[in-house]
Amino acid sequence: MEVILRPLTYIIMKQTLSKFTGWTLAIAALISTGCKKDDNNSTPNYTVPTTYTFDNIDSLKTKTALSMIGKMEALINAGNTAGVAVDGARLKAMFSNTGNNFTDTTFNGVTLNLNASGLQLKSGTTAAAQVGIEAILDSIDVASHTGKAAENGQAGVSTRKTLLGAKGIYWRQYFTKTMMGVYIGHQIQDVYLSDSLNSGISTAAKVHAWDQAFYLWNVPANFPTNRAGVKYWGSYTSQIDSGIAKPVANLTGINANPTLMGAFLKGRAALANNDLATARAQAAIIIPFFETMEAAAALHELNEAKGNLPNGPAAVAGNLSESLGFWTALKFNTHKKISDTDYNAVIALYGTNFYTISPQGIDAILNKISSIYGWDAVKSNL
Amino acid sequence: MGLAGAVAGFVLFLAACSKSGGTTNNGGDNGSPDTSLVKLGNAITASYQGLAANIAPLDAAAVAFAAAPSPSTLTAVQDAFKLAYKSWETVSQFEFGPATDKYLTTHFTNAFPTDTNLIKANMGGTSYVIDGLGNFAAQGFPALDYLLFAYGNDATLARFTTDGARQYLKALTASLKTKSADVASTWSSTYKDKFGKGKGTDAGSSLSLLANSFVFDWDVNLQNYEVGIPIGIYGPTTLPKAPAKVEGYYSGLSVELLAAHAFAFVAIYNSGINDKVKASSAQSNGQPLNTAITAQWTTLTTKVTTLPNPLSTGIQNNDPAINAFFTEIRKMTVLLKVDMSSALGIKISFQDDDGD
Repeated sequence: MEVILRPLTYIIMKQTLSKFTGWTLAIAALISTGCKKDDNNSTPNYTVPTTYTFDNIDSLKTKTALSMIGKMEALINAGNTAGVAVDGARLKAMFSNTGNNFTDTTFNGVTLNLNASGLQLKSGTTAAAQVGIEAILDSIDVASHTGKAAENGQAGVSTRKTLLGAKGIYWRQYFTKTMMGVYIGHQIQDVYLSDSLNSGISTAAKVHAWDQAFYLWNVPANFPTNRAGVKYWGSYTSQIDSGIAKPVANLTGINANPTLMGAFLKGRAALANNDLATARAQAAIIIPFFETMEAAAALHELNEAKGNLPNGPAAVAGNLSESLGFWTALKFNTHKKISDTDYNAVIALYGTNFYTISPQGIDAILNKISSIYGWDAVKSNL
Repeated sequence: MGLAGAVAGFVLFLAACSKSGGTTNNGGDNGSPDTSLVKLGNAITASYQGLAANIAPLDAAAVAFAAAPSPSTLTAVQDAFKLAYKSWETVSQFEFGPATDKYLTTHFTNAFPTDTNLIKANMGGTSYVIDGLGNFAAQGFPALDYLLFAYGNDATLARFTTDGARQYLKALTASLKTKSADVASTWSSTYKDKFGKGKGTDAGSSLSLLANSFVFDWDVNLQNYEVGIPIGIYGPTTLPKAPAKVEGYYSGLSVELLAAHAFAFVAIYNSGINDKVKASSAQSNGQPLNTAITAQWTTLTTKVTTLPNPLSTGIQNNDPAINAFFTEIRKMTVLLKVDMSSALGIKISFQDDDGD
């Protein structure tokens, strides 16, 4: 638990330390971690809890949105069975929440009416990526109607019961991993932690926006002690922290779990105590970190792909589709620092047909990402 | 394994574990090399150099044959293939380090039976990349075995009237040439020294890497794929006989390859693994474990030369010599996988599902 003692620090700095000899030593140890100076000394002291346990948490919109993604995935997954056609028009209607295509869902005990929620994934997706997502949904329709077995040049269902495009892309995974950036990441970065935090809405509304951002990460309140039910980034932040070694033992990667959890807890505690400056500072940790996470997850899936080589092309193509999905998500991340040249160099290495990529080609992508981000020391652990 | 052997192995295992404090990583240069590991490293390097030296002329002969298919150029490339394939049997025990880094492993080099439909499609104009994901089952020696031998020389020469077949042949041998040269040069330039210094028995130590790969190659590749599955035995499961699933089916090289493989195991064992087993003082049935293993090597290398040739015909004829030989292979599997690994203090980390 970290204690924020900004006003006290402020006082200490204004006073002679000798007047406080009884407790300055204890406080001194805390100054280096939690203190920010500003002149607003009317803010009460507050503590940062170690779990996401606060008064008046609101995660309803997040749960609704994540349920919608889950429902779309379920329909896409139907196409993984040979002979089952998936209606792309219906998928697109779900994406834009028109035509009452969702069924109500229960999410952690709360019944959500998705159709009447007024929320739509499409408008919440980065504008530049909306067309691309709809193109994926159209491709799923086409691939699921071939009635063929997947092979090089032929879309269809693979031996591993995955619906692949003619060039080996596993559509369901590509959809999910891209959405993790263009919807989930975008909502966290640009909507809840930027627009909301910097707008004139009430502090209470800002607090709720912060909650939506945290729950879009999709981890339980006492994460990472409790990892039950994690999904999307909630699963991947652990994977890119400990690599392909299972079970999770040591932090060998990019420390995503402690980085995100620390920032989310501190920012939420700050907002609840009218400390907007500290909350913004935490948002400024989380927002750019999505680039690190997307690149690390893309690399992680390449390690998974290498591990899957003995299991044949469909298995490897699945991992490559996930990897490319994360790299596609990065393309639409407006906070990314990577140069266009570097970004496109990696895209070129993925090639245009997963059936013709070689193991050496997978290494080449992995090594390029690693060199761009300076991960050579940890690349095999990501 | 006798009780004495079990106790000795267990004591050694504990002793090996007790000193495993991070000083035994293969990645680290921890001073003076280990004599046995140096011997083994030299032997492995020589095996890869031998493979590369036999694949280079195979590639040259393939290029010559593709340029001018004729009975004589076909014989030349077939002969070069036989030598190169037998060389492969001397390196399949070493799937770690350079071999895995460069993908010169059984999965990419010697997965049989090969996918003849895919090969035909590739020859017929389907766009392919020889090492591509979609081509795993149509590359390496088994693909060459099909291309250069299937259904006799007349059929083979007829096959090579198409440019697709010629291009595919050259792509196969070029890939093997590049990868084998790469692995041989990495072993001789850097990895041999690293291997010699990777002392200890932890996962990642040279002995652990070697023992795991060595036992895997024996248990899975030699026992199950080269003999067990073709005769219809997989662990406790009885399968239909599958004579066409022998190694080198089209060239009829199965027995020669099996013999080359068995002799290669003996050679590597005697290049330093034997020192480690002797030093352990492990026992098996009242005699030193090394004596038991050596005696079983003798049995195997004697009997392998008496097998019906080719193996596929012998299997069709229910020749009892093959099943008898399989029994001897399984005895060796126990000696290597159970007794030798515990004597060396090595944890065998691969799992197969054949029950032994």
